[in-house]
Amino acid sequence: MHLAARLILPCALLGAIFLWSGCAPAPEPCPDKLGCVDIGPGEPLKLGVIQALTGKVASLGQEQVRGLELALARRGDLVLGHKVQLLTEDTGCRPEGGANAALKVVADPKVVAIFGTTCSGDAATAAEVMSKAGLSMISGNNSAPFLTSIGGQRAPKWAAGYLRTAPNEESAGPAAARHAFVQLGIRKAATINDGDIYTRGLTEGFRQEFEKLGGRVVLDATVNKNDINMEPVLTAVVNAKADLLFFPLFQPEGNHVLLQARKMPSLAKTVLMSDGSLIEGSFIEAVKEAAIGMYFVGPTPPAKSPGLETLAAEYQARYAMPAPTIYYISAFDAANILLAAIEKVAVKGKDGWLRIGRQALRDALYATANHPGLSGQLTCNEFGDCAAQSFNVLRLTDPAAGVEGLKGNVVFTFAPGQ
Amino acid sequence: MNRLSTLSRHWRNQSITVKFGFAFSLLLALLALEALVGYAALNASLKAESEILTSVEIRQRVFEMDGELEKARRLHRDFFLKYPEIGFAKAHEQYFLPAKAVIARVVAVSDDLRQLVAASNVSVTLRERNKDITLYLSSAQRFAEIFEELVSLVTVLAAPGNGLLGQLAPLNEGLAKAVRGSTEAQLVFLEMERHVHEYLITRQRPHLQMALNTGFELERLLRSAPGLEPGRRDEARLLLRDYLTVAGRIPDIDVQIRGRFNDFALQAQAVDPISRDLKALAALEVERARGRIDGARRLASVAIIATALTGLAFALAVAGLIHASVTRKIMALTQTAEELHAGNLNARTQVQSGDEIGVLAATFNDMAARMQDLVGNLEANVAQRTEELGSANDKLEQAVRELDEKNQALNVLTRTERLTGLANRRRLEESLQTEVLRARRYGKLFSIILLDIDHFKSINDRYGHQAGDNVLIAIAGVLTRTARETDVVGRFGGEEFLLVCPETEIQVVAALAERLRLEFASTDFPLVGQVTSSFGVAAFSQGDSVKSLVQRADEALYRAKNNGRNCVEVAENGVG
Repeated sequence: MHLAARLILPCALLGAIFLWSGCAPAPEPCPDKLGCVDIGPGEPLKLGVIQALTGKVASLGQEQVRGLELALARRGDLVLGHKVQLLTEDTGCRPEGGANAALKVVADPKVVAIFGTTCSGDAATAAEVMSKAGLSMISGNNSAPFLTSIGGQRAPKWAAGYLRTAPNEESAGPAAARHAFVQLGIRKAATINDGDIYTRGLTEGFRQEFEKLGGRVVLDATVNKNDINMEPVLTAVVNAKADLLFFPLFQPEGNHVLLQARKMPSLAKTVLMSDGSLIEGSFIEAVKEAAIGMYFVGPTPPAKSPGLETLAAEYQARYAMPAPTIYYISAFDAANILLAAIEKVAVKGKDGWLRIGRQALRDALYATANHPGLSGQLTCNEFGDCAAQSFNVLRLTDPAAGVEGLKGNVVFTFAPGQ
Repeated sequence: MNRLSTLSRHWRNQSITVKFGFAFSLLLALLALEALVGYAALNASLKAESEILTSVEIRQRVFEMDGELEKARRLHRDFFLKYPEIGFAKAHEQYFLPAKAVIARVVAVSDDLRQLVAASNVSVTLRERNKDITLYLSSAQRFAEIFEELVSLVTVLAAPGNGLLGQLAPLNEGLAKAVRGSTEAQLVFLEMERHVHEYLITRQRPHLQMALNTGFELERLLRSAPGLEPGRRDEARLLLRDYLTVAGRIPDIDVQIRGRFNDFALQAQAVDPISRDLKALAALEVERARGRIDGARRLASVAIIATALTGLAFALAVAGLIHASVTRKIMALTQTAEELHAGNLNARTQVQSGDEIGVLAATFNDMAARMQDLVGNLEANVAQRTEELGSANDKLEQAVRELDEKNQALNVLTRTERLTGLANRRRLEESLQTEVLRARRYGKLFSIILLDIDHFKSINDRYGHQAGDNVLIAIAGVLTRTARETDVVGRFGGEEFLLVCPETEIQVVAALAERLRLEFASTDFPLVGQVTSSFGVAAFSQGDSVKSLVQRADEALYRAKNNGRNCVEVAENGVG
């Protein structure tokens, strides 16, 4: 007893010294070949968000962010009990913007994955940075074929870890070409791109299909972003004697082309066709009657469903406005696929610790199959395409009917492999 | 309250060893605590100093990194400013290659900086900026890549000879020559050339598109230009095709170049605030670390003082505890012992505890009680014995007194002749022996008178022994009265008397003897009338002994007897 009493104090002192020294358990080594993201108790789960949030396409970028926010809201803004912190960077819809935004995001080692981008040009540079850093990235808006696959082969700008729920527009150009050649009987066409891989991809797809059908692309012109004077390029169209002008441009270049073309009598009979980037309320409002008779090729919108109506209602309730485009749906699906993959691969530790392997997350994303998305059932392939390709050619007849009126006026549908 | 009393009881029941052990363990714990506080304060100061050094190093690295990047940017700018002037190859050598080397240093420094921040104990805010340093590092790498791409693009555009602009010039010159001869074609060519120039000045693609459109028109004219020979027409058309092809590529290259410049601008937007913030944070870190040192110092001082005061209070408490538990009990025991020592056998200690002192106190009280019992019996015995002893003492004193009296009487009896009260023969011999020894040692002369009553036998026979004794007593009286105080007068035997006269010469003794003889002769002794005596006088001579001196006196007496008695005869000096 006495001996025990003599031993108690020194033992207590030693114990206090030991506790004071602050022994923390050493973390186990990460088994993932691309590394792990460890999220401590109370720490947020960080997602990079790289979107075009300034400029004329800011509305598209905003749609993407909103799709993500709606998906998070469905989860109570929590993933595996952790709040989600969005590290948002603006690309300005420029390739260099994509790369620099990605550099900023991947500099934070706690970022689990990236949600982006809006423009395909940004995606190509951002995906390269992201992929080198071992992250994964998913977009609900990119559709340029160069990003994933062309003709069943890996595309030039393919990057490991990059996926998308917007359909690969590899077939958008061909859809437009088929409609032009088959439905409209056009044999000579001109194309205008803006140098971006997205618009180049579309015009190239159009050219290949159109020429395969027997038509001839008499002009493949390029305008620069922010060009205002489109008369020279339209003059070239006139000179080329094209019966159809396919110009898959964004705003405002697309607006300028249309408005200035309408002022040129020599183009009065020329069929004007653009793509989904101009299927927007703001475009119709800006050009009004000038757009009458114009064609648009864009992804086949998802079939109406109660789920979609609910999401639309949530959008309306949250942002006090109806969704200007349908791309928030593919953004919503992209976000859900990403969050589901995170939930699938995250290893839960004590007290809310999470460990997410980067390669495991990539694998889980690529393994996504039959995901019940609101844009359709989604299965991701080895190139990162998760959505099936189906494109509608629309004709605008009533600007007052807006986007919904346009989307309802489907004149042609092309869905390869279906 | 119950718990407190239980604790108090438990404490009282502990042994002294445990109590001391507990008290000193607590003191040791306080010392250890103080040491820990001191160590912690020192550690905090060292840590803060280390942070200052790290922060300063971080700041230096940021300055170095930023300076190098700025240098790379200057080289990059100078490349584009100077290459038209000094030539592409020289600009490549003077600006591009050094810029690459500088960027490599920026990358190395930023990587070092990232590792430094990651490995250091700087603040969370600064550590969290590691991602910015990572961004800085990757931006610097991207700067190098983009610069290289840019130089490649510029090479495609402007390299002497094979650059697009370089190709355009001879094509333009050749085409100008080729269309000479057709005014219409020449005018169109000039318009095309103007559009190209406008493009090269404004870099607005519509100008080039207009040039291409004009080229389209020129090509149409050249097909049937009346002023041109067919050979020159074909040559002009070939040159025009090449010219349009080359010119048509220029805007794409320009777009790419602009994209790269935009990239630089974005990089600058991203990294400039980083270096600025890092410098500010590093400076803040230094200030913070300094503040922490001050804080740690203040806190340590307060903690050490507080601990010291607590320790002092604790030491006092422990001392009080030990005093209450040990010292006070020992003092109580000591006081009780002193009371016992002072005789208060009723004194008892009130110490009550379960420790050794409690046991000692209980034993002490038992011992005191037993002592009280023992002392109570002893006093009764002592009183009785004292009374008995007093009685015995009185008897003893009486006996001693009687014995002293008897001893004194005995002493007188042993040194005094009983009838006359004069010195007896033993005492006379002692006196003679003493004087002989004095005379021998100090040379002090002395003399003796030996006298004998004449015809004393006839006195006894005639008047009886009582009358004879009376004569002896009367003679003794005369001798005592006549002799000096220093003289020793004694009865030598029978009717002989001896006077020892210290320090007296023979003549004085002879005179004394004569005076005695006359006194005897003139004295009327009761019943017997006149009585005479014969005297022998002798003085001590060196070599005499008691026996020889007395013998010479006796021989002188004998002569006096023989000379008719009642006379004084003086002995010769020396033996016999």
